[in-house]
Amino acid sequence: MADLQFPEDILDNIVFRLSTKTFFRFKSVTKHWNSLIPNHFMKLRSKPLTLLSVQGIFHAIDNSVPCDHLDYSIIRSSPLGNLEGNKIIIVGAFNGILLIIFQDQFPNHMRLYNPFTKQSDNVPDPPSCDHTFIYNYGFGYGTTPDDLKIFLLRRASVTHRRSCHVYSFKTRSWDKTALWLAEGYNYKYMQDAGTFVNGFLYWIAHKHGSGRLILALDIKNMEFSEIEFPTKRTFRSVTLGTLNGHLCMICSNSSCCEVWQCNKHGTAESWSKKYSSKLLSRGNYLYEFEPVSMLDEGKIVMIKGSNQVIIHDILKDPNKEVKALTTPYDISRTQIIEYVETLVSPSNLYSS
Amino acid sequence: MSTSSSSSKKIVLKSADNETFEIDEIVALESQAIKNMIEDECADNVIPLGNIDSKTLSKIIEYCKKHAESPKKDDNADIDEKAVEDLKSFDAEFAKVDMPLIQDILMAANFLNIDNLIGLMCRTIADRIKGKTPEEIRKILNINKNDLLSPEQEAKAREENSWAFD
Repeated sequence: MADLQFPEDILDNIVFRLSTKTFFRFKSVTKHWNSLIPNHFMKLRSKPLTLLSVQGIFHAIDNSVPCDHLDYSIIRSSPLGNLEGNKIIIVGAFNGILLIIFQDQFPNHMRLYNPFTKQSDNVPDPPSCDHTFIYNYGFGYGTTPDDLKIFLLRRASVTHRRSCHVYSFKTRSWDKTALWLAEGYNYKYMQDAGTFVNGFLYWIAHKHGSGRLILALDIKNMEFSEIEFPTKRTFRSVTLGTLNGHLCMICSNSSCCEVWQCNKHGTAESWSKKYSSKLLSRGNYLYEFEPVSMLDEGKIVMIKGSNQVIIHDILKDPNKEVKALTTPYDISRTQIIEYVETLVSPSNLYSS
Repeated sequence: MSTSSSSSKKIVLKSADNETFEIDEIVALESQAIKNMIEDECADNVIPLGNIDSKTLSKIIEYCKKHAESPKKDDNADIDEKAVEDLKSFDAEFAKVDMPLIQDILMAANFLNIDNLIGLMCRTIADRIKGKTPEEIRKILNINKNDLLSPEQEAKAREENSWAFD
């Protein structure tokens, strides 16, 4: 066949299955594909969905599609059959693949999972990793997406040393690095999985004697630093997320809700307030609300009561609910993240 | 052939090179396009497939037969694990053919609207070009030289995503 002209839907079907690296190479194979891919395929591959983990079942919601009950969510899938009672953590998502931690399960406590194709793949445990230690997790890269890594940070003990297991998708192997964090035993982590933004992993932590702050891990240089909170006010709940590609923090208490964006990494002066809500403070309105997540395009996801998901677009129209979903479950402890649908197989994530 | 086949309805498919294939209707129904034709009662006894050669058509029939015999996934939740595995290994074996035939099967499956087969062929192509350079991909897919990027366009594409070409 000298003249290869796949119809567009066939081409989409193939492209959907390619890892990012092959995808970009594929793009430069022919004139036709090179011109099609930026407009057409990228759109196909970058429609973010909101994923809720409810009692071990993942529900993916398309915010642009009207629906008001979780039973009509577009994808429902469970990574391992019945997970009820299992404590799972969604560490993050890249290229449509989630990294999930099964906290009580050793060995085999890490799994890559594509909720769209429902394929999963085990990540081997690092040597000497077991349930007698408490770990923090990270999923991210230093400079380029093909350098994706998994980070397992052992919590500092009295010996002040903190070790970090790093899994590289390039070499498919674990490496152990000693991570120096001065007085590491003074920090208490408030979140298990770090929030990944532009080469850094961020955790909200409590430092003995200083109070709450953000701990940042520079992935490229493997160095920790501290970032001060944007405001001295006390908030009941603080959550990290991304907004316009920057680190952001949602702060809320019974009287108000604020969203701050960190414009330049590491500088406390670069925090700017993007949103401050009076709307949510009507009466006891906010008492029932728990902001859980920030979607990158400026939507804030909150849990109301214990069984409703409310999404507001804080940049466009903060007064209007973009979406309100009622669920039959208690979702007060749910995890909500954004991911993009792909057909990429978990075992091929960033392999070449 | 199963014993029940003698009693079931037959459909005849005719390839571009005028070879005829008599198959059970249930096998032909794997193709959504033929199913629609039959349901709309616009299928004669012989369905001419003027754009599919006999080599490709016989492969497609082999695939449809196997899949028609296997229990359907959506029928109920208690699927026989062995049957699923069996079908998986059949698919893997089935896809072990050269690239021109894969492309022919893909185009024919697209025309006949056989979803599973389209998916299988696309997956096979994706697997074969995985991790390959653009040059290798061109060779594997036998891309026409007239359709290549100009050297400037190619340099630009490489520059924009240099990490993908390491």
